[in-house]
Amino acid sequence: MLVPVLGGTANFLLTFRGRYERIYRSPAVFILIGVYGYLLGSTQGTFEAFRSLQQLWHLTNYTVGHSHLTMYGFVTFAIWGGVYALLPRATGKYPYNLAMGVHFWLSAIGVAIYVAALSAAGTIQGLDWLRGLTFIQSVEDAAPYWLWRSVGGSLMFAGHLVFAFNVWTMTFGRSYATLAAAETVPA
Amino acid sequence: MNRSLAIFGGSTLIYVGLAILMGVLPGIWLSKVPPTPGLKPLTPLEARGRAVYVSEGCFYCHTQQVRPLSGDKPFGRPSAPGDYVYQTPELLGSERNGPDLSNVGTRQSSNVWQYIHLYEPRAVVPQSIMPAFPWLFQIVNKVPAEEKPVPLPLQFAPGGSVIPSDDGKALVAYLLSLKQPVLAPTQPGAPPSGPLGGTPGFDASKGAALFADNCASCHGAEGKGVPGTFPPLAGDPVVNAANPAAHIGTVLHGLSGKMINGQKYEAQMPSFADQLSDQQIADIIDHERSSWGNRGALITAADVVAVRANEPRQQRAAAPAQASPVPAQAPAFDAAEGSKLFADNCAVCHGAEGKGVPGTFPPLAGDPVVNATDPAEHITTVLRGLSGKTINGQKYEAEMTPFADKLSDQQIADIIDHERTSWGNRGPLVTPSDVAKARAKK
Repeated sequence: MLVPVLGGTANFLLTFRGRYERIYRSPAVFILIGVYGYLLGSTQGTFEAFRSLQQLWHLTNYTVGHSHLTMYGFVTFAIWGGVYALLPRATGKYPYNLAMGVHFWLSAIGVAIYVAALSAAGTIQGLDWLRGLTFIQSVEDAAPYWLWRSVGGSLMFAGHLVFAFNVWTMTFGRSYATLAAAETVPA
Repeated sequence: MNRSLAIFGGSTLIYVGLAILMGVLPGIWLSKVPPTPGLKPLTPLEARGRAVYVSEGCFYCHTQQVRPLSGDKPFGRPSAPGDYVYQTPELLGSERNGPDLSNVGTRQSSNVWQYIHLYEPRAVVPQSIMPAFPWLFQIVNKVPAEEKPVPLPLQFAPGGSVIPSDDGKALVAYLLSLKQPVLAPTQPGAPPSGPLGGTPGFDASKGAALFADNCASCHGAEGKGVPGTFPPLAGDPVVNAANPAAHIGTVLHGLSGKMINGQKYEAQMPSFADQLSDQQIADIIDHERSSWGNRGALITAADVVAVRANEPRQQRAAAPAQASPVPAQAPAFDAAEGSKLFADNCAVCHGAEGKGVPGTFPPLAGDPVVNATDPAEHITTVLRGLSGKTINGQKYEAEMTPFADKLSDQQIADIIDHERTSWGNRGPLVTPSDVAKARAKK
C-alpha cells in the first residue's frame, strides 16, 4: 500500500510544485488538503493493518478518527475543490472569496481537532481494555476527548453551512465575481 | 481497443475472482456451520426485540463479537461461527462505545436492571454515556393488574409509574436471550476412551475448552487450520510423534516459517509459556493428540515442566521465584483482585462505593449481613442470589444474580473480603474453603 500512496502523493505534489502562490488563492487549496489527507490517512491505514496494532485499535474510536481523516480530510476536501472549480464554469457565478476562505478554515481546523481527539481517545480505550480495566473505566478516561470531538465536529458543521451558502451564490443567488476566470491550462 | 478490453476485462475478472474467493465461498461454508450446541432459536418475542435492537441503532455502539484477546475476556468466551446461526444478518457491530453484548443475558440476567438501565442508564451506571430510551416505556397513573412497574430510584422517577411498552419488553427479552452456550467437546466421551486410553488421564472437556479459547481461532475447531495460512493439526507429524518434545516446545514458544508437508507457514504462532499453566498446556496437547483422527502418545504436566526446564538459563533463573513455597494459610486476600472482581460483577447494581440504589438495590456499606461475624449468610447470598428481602425496613424486589456457576471459590472469597473491608465495613474475612463449605450445603 505504501508504494501507490507515496507514488500518488508525489504525482499530486509535484504537479502543484512552483505554483503555490496561485494555489493558496484558488479552490485548489482544498485539493491540496485533500492530498495531504490522502497521504496521512492511507499511510495510517497501512500501519493499522498490522495485527499488533489492530489488537489495540480495533473497535475503538481510533477507527472513527481514521475514517474521518480519509473520508473527510481526503475525499470531501477533494470534492469541494472540484465543486468550487467547476460549478462557476457551468453557471458563470462565483462565490465570495471570503466565504470560501471561512469554509476552508472551519473545515480544516475542525477535522484536525476531531481526528486528533478521537485518535487519542481510541488509543486510551484500547490500552485500558488490554490492561484489563473495567469497561466503564475506559468510558471515563475517554470522555474529555469526546468534548474536543464535539468542538471539532461543530466547526465542521459550521463549515458545511458556509458551503451551502457558497453553493447558493454559485447557482441561484447573486454572484459577486471577484475571481478572474480561470486561465486556460497550457496543454 | 484490444488493450482497453484486456485492462477492463482483466481487472473485472480479478475483482470477481477475489469477491468469490473472499466473500461468496466463505459465506457458503459458514452458512453450513451447525448451531453451537445449546443455542436456542429466537422466540417470536425475542425476534421482535431484535428488530427493536436494529431500529433503535443499538449496533452502532454495541458489538456482538468476542475476540480471542485478553481485553475481550470480560465479555465472554471468543465467539464461534455457530453462535450466529439463528441471527442473520449478524449484528456484529464495528465499534464499542458500549460493552459487547454477545453474552449480556448471562452477565446481566436481571430484567429489572435492564429496564432501569434502558429507561435511564445513569440511574444504575452514573458514568454511562448511553442515551436513555424513555419511549420504550409508558408512564401510567394506575398500574394494570398484570404489569409490574419499573422500580426507578426516586431522583429518576417521573410523576406516575413506569411500565415497559411492548417494544421495551421485546428488547429486554432479546437482550436476555443473548447467552453464549458453553463450548462442549466436539465428541463427548470419545477422546478419553481413545485407543491409547489407560495412559496418563486428562480432562477432555478442559482440553477442548482451552483449545477453543486459545487455538481454535487459527487452527480451526476441527483442527483443519486454514490452508496455506494456519497449519492443520489433524494428521500433523509433530502432533502424532511419539516424542512430544517438539509439540510441547511449539505451544510453549510459538513458531513461524516452518515447512509442513511441502507448505511453508509464515504466520507467527504466539508463545503460550506465560499465559497457560503446565496442566493447561498438557490438557490442550492431549486434546490435540486424541482428536480428529490423531493418535499421538498422551503427555502429562510433568512433561511440560521438563521441556520448560530446557529453556535458556536466564529464563530458568526466573522460574523458582514464581514457584513460591506452600501458599500461606492465614486468611489474607488480594485486595486488588477483590476490588476488580467487585467492579466487574457487583458494582453495576451495588455501586462502586457500595451505596446501592435507594429502594432498588441494597447498599452494602453498613449492611448487617456484610458486617456479621458469621459469614454464612453473606456467602450464601453471593452464591445463590436473593430477592424480596427487607433490609432496614425497605423491601428490595429486584432479583440478585446467583454467582455459584460464574465465579470460583477464590474469586467469591476475594469479593466478599473486599466488601467486608471497604466503605467502613468491618466484617471478619473469609477464605475460599469457607465458600467451598457453603457450596457443599444445599
